[in-house]
Amino acid sequence: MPIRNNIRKLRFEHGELTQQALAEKVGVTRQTLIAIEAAKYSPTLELAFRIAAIFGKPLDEVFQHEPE
Amino acid sequence: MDMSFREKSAWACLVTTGVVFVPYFAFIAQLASNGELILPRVVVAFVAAVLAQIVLVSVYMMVIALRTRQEPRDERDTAIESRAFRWAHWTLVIALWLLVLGGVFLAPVFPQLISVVFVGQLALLSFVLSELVHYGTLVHGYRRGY
Repeated sequence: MPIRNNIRKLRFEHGELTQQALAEKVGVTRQTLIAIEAAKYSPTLELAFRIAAIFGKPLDEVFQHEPE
Repeated sequence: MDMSFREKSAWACLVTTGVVFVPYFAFIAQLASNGELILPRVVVAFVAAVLAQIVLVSVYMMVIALRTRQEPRDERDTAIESRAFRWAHWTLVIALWLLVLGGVFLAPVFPQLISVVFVGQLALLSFVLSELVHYGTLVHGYRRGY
C-alpha cells in the first residue's frame, strides 16, 4: 500500500532541515528517514505523527495514501 | 553505499558465515565421499571454522564500529529483524524436518550413510543455512528499504 509523502518539500520549507537532523528529532536512523522519504518504508502511525508534529502540519498534509 | 551500523553488521555476519562454512561443508563432503567422516577430524575442522568466524567477525565489527556511527534500534530495524527471524525459523524447521524424514526413508536404503557424525553435520548444515537466510533477509530488507 504506497504511502506518498511531502517530507522532502517540508524539510526545505523548514530551513533546509537535513535528513540527519530530522531523523534525530523523531528518533530514527538517517537510513530509515531516507527509506520513508523515498516511500520504500511506511512508518508506523506513531512515527508518522511525530514527523508531522515536527513540521507543525496535520498528518494528511505530510502523508497521503495512494490507491494501487 | 550509505549503510547503517546494523546493515554493515548483517553484511559482516553473512559474508563471514559464507566464507567460513562453505569451505567447511565442502571439506566435510569430501571426507564423507572418501569414507573418512570420523569424529576427531570433524571436531578439528569444526573448531577451526568456529575460531575463524569469531576472528573474522571480531575484526570486521571493530572496523565497522570505528568507522560507523552507532545508533539505537528503530522501528524499521525491528521490522526487518522480525522478518529475518521468521524466515530463518521456517528455514530451520523445514531443514530439520527434511533431515528427520530423510533419515526415516533413506536409512534402510543407504545404511552406510547414517552415522551420528553424518546426521550431526546435516543438523549443523540446517543451522548454518538458517543463519545465512537470517543475515541474507536482513541485508535484503535494508537494501530494499524495508
